[in-house]
Amino acid sequence: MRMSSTHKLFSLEEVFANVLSVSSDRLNASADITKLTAWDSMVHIVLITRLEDDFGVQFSGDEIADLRSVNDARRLLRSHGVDA
Amino acid sequence: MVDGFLKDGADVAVLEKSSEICFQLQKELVGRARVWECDVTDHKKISRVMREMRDAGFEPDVLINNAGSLHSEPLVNVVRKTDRVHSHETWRNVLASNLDSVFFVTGSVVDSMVRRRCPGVVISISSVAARGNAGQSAYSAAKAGVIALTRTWAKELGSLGIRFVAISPGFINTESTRSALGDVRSERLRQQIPLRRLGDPVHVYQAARAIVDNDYINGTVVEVDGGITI
Repeated sequence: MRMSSTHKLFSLEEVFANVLSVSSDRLNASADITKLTAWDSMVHIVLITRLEDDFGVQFSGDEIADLRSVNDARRLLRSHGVDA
Repeated sequence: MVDGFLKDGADVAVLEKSSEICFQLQKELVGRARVWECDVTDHKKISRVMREMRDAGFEPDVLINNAGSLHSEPLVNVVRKTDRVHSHETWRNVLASNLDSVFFVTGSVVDSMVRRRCPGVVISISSVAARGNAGQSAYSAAKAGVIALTRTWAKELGSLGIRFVAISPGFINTESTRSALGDVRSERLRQQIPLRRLGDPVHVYQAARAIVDNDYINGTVVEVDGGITI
């Protein structure tokens, strides 16, 4: 069963904005987050665990490494049966 | 440690540096545990053995960093007049066997755990010497380093479901402890321990087993020392 993002407290964009300390209206969905000054591999773990906790999924090791943008996250969540 | 986990039904692999001991272990443990010859101070050998393990279908969810060597040497040997400062070579060797080994093996094993998203636990053997022990600069520093690594990794990787715990044994009744202490020092030490006895290796195994079973123990040091540190 697909889960709707309306059940979540925060949208996907809001999670990214919150973790990466940017405003969600300035977040480019296709932009590579690893280029942001606020990003490093420790922040990446925080982002991954926020996404996993908020959307109720568990990403594989490869998925964690491949997740570079909001669009990547949306695509991965869909592959786990979550609409975000 | 191996016997304890085997009796409890675990699938066990051992990394052992000495080819003679490997041969002996392979004979004793045939059909019960896998043994790989590996110097755990050599990160290239560790990578190779980890690949061989993976190819053999063995990917651990529990790692016990139990390799190490005890060494006593004063920083300055005051009964000498020349050449009396702690050997840099033995400093490096003791750090390698007690601390580098933990860093190298854990990195390789945890890499696999993260790839598989396997909840796991890494138990590293520290020592009461981590609090500082006169005459054991290198050993104390290495064992304190093991605790620092445990805490660092627990903070870094706990959210991915991987736990890190250190065990700090006190004076355990083993051949190496007896030969290091001798009878007189051993007796003096025994008097200082509130329980008035040295520990047994099974006590360290029991601590490891409890850590494996209790998935809320994380980032801490379990002291198995009869109370000598209180």
